[in-house]
Amino acid sequence: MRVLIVEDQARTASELRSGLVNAGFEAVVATTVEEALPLAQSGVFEALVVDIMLPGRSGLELVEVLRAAGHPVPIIILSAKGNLEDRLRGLDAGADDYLAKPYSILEVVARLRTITRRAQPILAAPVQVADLIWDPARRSVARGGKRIELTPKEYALMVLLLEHAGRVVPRSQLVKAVWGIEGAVDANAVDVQILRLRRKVDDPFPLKLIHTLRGVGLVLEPREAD
Amino acid sequence: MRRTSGSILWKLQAGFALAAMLLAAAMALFMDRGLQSSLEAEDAQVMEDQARAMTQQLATGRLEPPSGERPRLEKAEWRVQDASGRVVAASPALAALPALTLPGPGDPPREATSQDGRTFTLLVRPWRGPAGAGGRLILVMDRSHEHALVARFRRTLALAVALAALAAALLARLVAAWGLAPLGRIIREAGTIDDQHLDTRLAAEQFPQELQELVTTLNAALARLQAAFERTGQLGAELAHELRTPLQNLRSTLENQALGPACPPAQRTALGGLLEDCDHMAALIDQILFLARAEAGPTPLHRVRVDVAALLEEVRAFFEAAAEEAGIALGVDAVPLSVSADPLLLTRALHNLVANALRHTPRAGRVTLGAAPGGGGLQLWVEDTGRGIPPEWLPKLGRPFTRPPDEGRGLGLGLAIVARIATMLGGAMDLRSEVGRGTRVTLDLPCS
Repeated sequence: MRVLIVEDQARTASELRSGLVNAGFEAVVATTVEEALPLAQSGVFEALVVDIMLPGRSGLELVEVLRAAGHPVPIIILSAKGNLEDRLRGLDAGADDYLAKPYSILEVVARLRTITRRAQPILAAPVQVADLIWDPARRSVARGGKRIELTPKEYALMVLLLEHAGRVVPRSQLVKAVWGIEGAVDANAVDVQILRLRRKVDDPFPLKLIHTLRGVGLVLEPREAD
Repeated sequence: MRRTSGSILWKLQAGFALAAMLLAAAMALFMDRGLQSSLEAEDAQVMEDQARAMTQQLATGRLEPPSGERPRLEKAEWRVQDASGRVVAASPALAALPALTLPGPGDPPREATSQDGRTFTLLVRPWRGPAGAGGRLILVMDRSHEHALVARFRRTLALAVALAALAAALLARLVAAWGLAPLGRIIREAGTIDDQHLDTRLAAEQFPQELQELVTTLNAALARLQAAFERTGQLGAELAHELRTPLQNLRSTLENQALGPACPPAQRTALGGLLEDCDHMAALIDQILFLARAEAGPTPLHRVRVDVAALLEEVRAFFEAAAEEAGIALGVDAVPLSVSADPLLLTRALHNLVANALRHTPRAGRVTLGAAPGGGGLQLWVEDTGRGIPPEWLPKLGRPFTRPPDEGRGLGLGLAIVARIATMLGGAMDLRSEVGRGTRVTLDLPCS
């Protein structure tokens, strides 16, 4: 997938670019609206990541111009102001999503995957990761042939990890999936929720599936020891 | 001792009363003088007339004593003496002349006081009879009654002066109260202006001319204050940008390093710690900016109808696992209610409160989220059976950067944010705590 990054701060742009490349995207950087506009209109890019504060015309203007021209390209707005008004303005302008700085690149990746997902694949067939079997149709998770009883929140968290098996899921994504909350929350409450899921899914087994990446998020993959 | 500039009402009252008293006294003096001189003039006239009539009668030789047609007070006693001083005729009261110095025969009537303190007016006129006889006619008018009258009149005047002063003082009170009423209105209207309503101005044209300048000055001060607050707000936005941009770069670099395929696990853990520090800093910047923005002036609220019980249940659900893990019973005690509020702000406040409560409540304790009508509106509270807050800390909590010294992490911004959210929603935060028994934080919200 090709992504156009519109960001004037050279370091911010290059870090974001390498993060996206690491995640398997192709990424190109533009530093002004004038530079970005023809690129965005060329139809080469499947998504745009746009900073609001740009020299000259703002990122919001870019979104408005594209939307006025009928461009449906998915756009994520980035802003260092990070207040609600800014967020609403971004979404009003026609952006699909909004992230406040400092964002996690992984979060940008996750959002890009979400907004560019054309048709949500309906998972009906059971999914297996090592000895864990998830049957979405029956809403059941089992390990070593034994069903694991999960609370609705634990199940939501598990499903999120299973859907992204092998990929790191940022914490913010997790909070949104489990509680439907966007923004800062009490870290301890989130940690406890993860701890409890782990206790049920991993504690009785030598092969660990759920792993924490400090400061980043969670990943579901078979590993012998953490 | 502190000097105060006193009360306008009292000054006006005293001034009014003094002015009225001086005016009344001046009038009384004038009236008194007028009365006295007119009485004297009339008495003199009466005596001159009587003397003229009597000298004319004496000239014809037929003396008729003045008849009683005049009031007794205005009639003079008389005595007719011949040239040698022998009494020819006299009214009964003047058979014996009191020891008084008589004026000369051509003098105007003169006043004299006898030894027993009585006041008289004396008049002496020559007379000439038909047969070459002649002598002096002496008229004496006793004016003691008149003096008594004047004294009574003066007492009445004094009373009138006192009454006038009293009436003036009362009137001054009414007039002053009426005149000062617009000032009270300015005070009341200015009193409603808080940091959330700095765009409010008083309508100068609605006030009396004399107060318009005050209102204009007040409005100008408000405008300056508003501008200063707005500058602070703009500075906050710029500060946010300046702080978040380098933090973003730092975070991105660390994240890319940590997620790089070549990163050794030990380094990944270390980088993860740094990423957590970045997030902690970002959260702090958010909190400080939230408070700064709230200080800087009215923040647009996104009010919607909020189902309070459902909101509390959502908050409870978020902390459910954490509470269970800590061995604390977390419950909701709410009556079905709805309130017009910004749900994100309310959620943020309640999250802060419940996180605090869980941190400070020991195992087997209880934390309750509650809602009920009360305090003239709606009350939301979070109550715990925790260790409580020492009383000396209670008044200080809720201010930014204030926390008891035994409190581990944090800048003490959580409660300050809750207090700020309460005022942003038009309410207030109330904190009650008892050491060893628990704490209850209540948000009093208007029932709009």
